[in-house]
Amino acid sequence: MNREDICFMSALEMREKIQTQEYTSEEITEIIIERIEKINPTINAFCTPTFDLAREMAKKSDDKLKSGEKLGLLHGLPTSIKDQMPLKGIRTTYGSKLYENNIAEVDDVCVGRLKNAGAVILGKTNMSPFGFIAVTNNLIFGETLNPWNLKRTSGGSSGGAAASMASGLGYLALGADGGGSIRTPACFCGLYGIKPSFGRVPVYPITGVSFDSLVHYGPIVRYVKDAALMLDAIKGPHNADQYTLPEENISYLEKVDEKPSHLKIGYSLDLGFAKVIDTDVKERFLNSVKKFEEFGWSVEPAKFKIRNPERILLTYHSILFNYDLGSKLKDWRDKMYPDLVKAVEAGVGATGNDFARSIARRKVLFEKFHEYFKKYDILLTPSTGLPAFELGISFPTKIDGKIVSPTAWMPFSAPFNLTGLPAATIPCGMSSEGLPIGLQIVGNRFNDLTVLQVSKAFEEIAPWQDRRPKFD
Amino acid sequence: MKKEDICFMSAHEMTKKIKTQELTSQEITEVIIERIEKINPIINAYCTPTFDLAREMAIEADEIVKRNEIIPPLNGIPTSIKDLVPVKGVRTTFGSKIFENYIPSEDSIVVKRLKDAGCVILGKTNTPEFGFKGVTDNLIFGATLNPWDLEKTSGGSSGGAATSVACGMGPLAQGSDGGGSIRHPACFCGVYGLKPSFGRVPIYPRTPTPIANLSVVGPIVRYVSDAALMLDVMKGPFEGDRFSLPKDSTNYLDHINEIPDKLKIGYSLDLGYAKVINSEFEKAIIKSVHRFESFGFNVEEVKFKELDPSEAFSTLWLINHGYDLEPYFEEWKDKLDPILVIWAEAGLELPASRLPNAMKTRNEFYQNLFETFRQYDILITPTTAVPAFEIGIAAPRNIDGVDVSPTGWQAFTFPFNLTGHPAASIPCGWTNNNLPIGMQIIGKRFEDLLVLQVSKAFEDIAPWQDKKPIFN
Repeated sequence: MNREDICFMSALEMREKIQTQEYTSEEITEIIIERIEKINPTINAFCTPTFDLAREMAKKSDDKLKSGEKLGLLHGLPTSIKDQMPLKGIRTTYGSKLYENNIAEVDDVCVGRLKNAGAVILGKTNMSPFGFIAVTNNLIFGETLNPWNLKRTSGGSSGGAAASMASGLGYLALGADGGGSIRTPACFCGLYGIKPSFGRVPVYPITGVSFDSLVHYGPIVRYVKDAALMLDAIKGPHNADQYTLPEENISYLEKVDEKPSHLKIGYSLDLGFAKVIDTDVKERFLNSVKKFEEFGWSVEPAKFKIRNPERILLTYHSILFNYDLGSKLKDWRDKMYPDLVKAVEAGVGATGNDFARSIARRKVLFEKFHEYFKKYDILLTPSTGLPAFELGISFPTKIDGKIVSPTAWMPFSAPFNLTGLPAATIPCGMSSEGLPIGLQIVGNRFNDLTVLQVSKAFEEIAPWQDRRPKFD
Repeated sequence: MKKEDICFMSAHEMTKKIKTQELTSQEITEVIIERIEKINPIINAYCTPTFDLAREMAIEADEIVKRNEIIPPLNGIPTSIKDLVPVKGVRTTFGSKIFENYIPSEDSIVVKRLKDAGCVILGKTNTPEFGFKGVTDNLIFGATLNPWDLEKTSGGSSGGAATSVACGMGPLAQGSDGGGSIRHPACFCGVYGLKPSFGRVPIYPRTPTPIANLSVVGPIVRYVSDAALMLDVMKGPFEGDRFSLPKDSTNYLDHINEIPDKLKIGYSLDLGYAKVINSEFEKAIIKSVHRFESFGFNVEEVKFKELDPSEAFSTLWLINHGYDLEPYFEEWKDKLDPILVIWAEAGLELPASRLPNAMKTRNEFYQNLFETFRQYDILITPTTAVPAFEIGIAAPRNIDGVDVSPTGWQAFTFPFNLTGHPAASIPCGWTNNNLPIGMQIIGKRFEDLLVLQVSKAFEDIAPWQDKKPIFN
């Protein structure tokens, strides 16, 4: 097998090959490291590689296998961690100069679970400052490029995670999604990413309150099965996180191949408020939704009456970022990302009642989806309003020639952070410019498994993994 | 059987007697209605009795037994509903003049579940306006009195519920608790009340106070087993409530008598911040907590890190009421509880930063408890810092000669609304003035069953049900 094929193998298949000793974890870790050293300088996905740690962990994995010990779910698999999650002893910057030299004193709970499951940690992946903007750029490490077109953004904020996976630089990537930050880069980079139900995966520790009740951790991967595998390793209650859900006692991996016999699927191109969609995205999306009928599932357009929730999120961001970072502006303004400075300043003068209104509107939003899910099992939307846009900007000001608001290109993401519903993005075609397009699959509360099963079904009839970005 | 014995019988025993036709639901319902008609004019627990509905439901319950159908778990059991919770076709005032003549067209989810389980709805129990304070009085129905001393408050906001149960006017009362509203009145009235884990019992519709995610629905009863019985019916996910927890497939009643082998019980008389508690409460709690040693449990005092969550709680509470009431001010201000108006106006004045500050304190306080629960299985505190106080004030401002803040007397309850832990109040003694003393039993997240088991164990060695309030 050639080295590139090894790097693009699924995590599950690689796990099998390690377990049967066809490969050692050390061998594949070296192969991946070699590829990172070759390609990362081009795309800038890893901001802090941890190759020494990876080699050490790979060796331990192999020793463990030899000694016949019980193996973890992710035994020996090279894995990356977004720079948002503390990794003990390793620099963790959150993409901000404020934390440029911050060495984490503890492991994040998920990181601890990944380690316990036997994952080999390759390093930290690049992100936007505190995950605030939806492209990956910051003042320490700069931009992460899209492997499909080096002049385009990888999306964000988990852009490093997505760019690394799309480039074959690891088998599993841990991302975080506070407003679309797993789904947007997974979509732009042609990958599968899932934001599980709120509370399914513990989030601890966090810095500040900026994404309180909004942030979800989850996998960005090349194969749906790998997401099930990774979620099995990281999901489940943790008493340090007040919002984690109770134990579920099912393995997603064991059930991901099962196809629900009857499903009612609705789809929407606007959720009732989105104004403009790129024509390629619209066309690929409409072609794709029909494919679900092949499983005997009913598919029909659904009507929504939803007020654009962008203001809810803007209010949250401005008030919470102002609280977390307002006092830092005086000394750090020049070293803070300009978009973030704007958000912090937007929170000045806000009242508690403004916040209360946003919380109340969030409840109304949830009730809209509650009504929807009384009638349907699954909701499909495009993942983003357009494919990856050019580097150097935080958002496009125009879609299909029409002037749009800063969040108009990603109208489908935030509603599911505000409601906590499980939502995945899956590749569903390429644009005329050769950029990946994503389909979002949303489930009812707690129905993460259904989302995975529907994703897996789609992957079977519309696989995308043969397409790989080319590097010279 | 004496009428009074029927009135003070446990619901669990009633279900058996109705099933075996030793008693009919109609007989029980009539005896209890007779008692309500005699005693309610004195203590004012029921604000809106629904005797016609109750009689109808009792007939239906007896029919089910006669027809040999499957008997639902609470078949024929007289039950009261707090006036904050909508019952279809029955006036639901929320204790407010604004809703003095409001007749809901739908049952709330918890009422629906109780009805489906066969409950006989006796009526609505009194509450302060929108449940905003810890004593029960409002401008429509007036004050609910304490059955043990008619010059004292019943506590609140589920004061009508607790009083009705203490007086033998129904074995099951549905209460709700946003800051102690099940536990204070249960403590003051000498009955058992359980605030389950946040989300265990769904709340839907969440009207009219949607903001603060603090509130939980739970049982107020005379016997611990009855709390398990009632909770088994009320608990479980509901898709309309985005905070409701997934299904907990354990039947609490089946397991209530199982007493865990080894438990580590920690107790605190200050939670790291409470300034003072009534000396009789202190003595009773210390004596009671050591009684757990007879089960072989390890009992010791816990030291808490110093952190006062009062401001965090009052911020959420005030902003919530400000947001909810502002739309009514123009038309209704002079018909609202004047203290509520002061609170709501204060809430509208608060700057936005108070909310993230409250979120931060909430997280920190939760972390303190996380540390505590790493070492202990159960935490015990007094339920309140004082016994029932005189009617006419919202809060005593002095405890044993020490000045306290308005939340000082309820220092032990609202922290567990901030953290969501299950917490029960169980009677554990009497003051020299013959007022009940309550002990609070708190469990880890989701461990409602353990809280019930430990409560049941205590009830077994220190039963309180022989003592009944006397009315001339």
